[in-house]
Amino acid sequence: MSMPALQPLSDEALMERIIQLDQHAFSLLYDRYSGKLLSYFKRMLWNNHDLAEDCLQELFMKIARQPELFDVSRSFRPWVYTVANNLCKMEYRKNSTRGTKISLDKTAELADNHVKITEKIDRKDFIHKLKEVLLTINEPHRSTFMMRYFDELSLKEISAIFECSEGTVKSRLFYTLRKIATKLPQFKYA
Amino acid sequence: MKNNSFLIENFEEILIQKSFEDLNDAEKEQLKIEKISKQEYDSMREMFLQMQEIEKSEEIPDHSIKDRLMAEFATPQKVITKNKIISINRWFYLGIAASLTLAFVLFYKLSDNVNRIDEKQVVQSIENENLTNNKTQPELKNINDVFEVYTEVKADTLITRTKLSEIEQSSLEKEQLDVPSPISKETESAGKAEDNSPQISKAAAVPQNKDMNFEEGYRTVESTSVGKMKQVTGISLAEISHIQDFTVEIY
Repeated sequence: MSMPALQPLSDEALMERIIQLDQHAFSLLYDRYSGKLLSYFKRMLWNNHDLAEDCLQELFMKIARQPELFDVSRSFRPWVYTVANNLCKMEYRKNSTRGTKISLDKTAELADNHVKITEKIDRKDFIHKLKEVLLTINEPHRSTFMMRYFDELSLKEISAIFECSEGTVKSRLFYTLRKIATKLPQFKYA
Repeated sequence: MKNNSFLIENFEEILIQKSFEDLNDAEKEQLKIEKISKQEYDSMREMFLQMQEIEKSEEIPDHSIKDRLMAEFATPQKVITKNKIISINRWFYLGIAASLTLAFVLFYKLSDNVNRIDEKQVVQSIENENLTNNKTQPELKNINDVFEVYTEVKADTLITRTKLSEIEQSSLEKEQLDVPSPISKETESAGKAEDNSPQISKAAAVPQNKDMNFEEGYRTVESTSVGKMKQVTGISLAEISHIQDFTVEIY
């Protein structure tokens, strides 16, 4: 089946074809998710682009080598974000064992100082500062927040990823938003 | 499990739709319970609205990543990797199946051998029995043959004995005729001597030995008679032994 013919297929249908070693399906699925997942990895991994690309490659390598690990009866997006989240956790562990972990407290401190110094911040700066502050938020609140407001996953999908109720997801989102708002009080909606 | 408050359950909708002033009494009461001030609520709302405005721009990964992934997906190594799992499973199950088959065949063969051994043993025993029977039959046959021979020999012996008796009788008569009589016809004692002459003659042929017992004497007589029979009849000693019912030894 050619690429255009595959376009209307769902993610799950593409995975079925990937299991049957369809290269076009694999290519199309990569195109659909590589940008989103790279952004997710970058946000989650201290804005480290190279590390984010490594994680992206590792994730799709897993899909290429063992596509049968995916249960085609389930939704693909929560599954792939679950895998991505697990890869991020592995990176956190690696950093903690290596001793090269970027100190989240230090990052937060720097972010606070920067915000205090800067009085007028435009939207671009807001995004930058928001991401920095997000690095100070503990897991799983941070990834929940990012999945919801950056990757636009539904509450149901996030609850499936973290295997918790939607109420728990809502609670995590609310308290994370409150914490961020406390750390960035100077931002005013224009 | 703790249930979320109305505010938390619907915070997204509330933040988008309502400023602090727009909140109803119940919602304001909820904020008090959560210890959220008006300033904090405004800050949260501003933050949330700004986040909604965030352009969901996506990072563009390096093209080399896709190339590597596509190559990985297309390479035989990948196929091998994928197939390896399948082949491992396949070989695993094939191995189990082969082992079971082999075990079954071995078991069957062993049991068959055991049966065959039993059969062989039975056949062997039957054959042995048959052989025994077959051996018995020839033996019986031989015995029958021997019996026939024996009967014939016995018959011959009887005939020979009869002949021998006749021959001996004629021989005695001849001896009586050949031995010169004492001519003393007058005395009865002489007559007695004539009557006893064959005995005397017979005794004279046998060496006299007073120390000889009955058996030795008998043997001597028998050997003498056998020798005499051989001499007279010309038959062999073996035939004579047959004639003597296989009990006579030749001395």
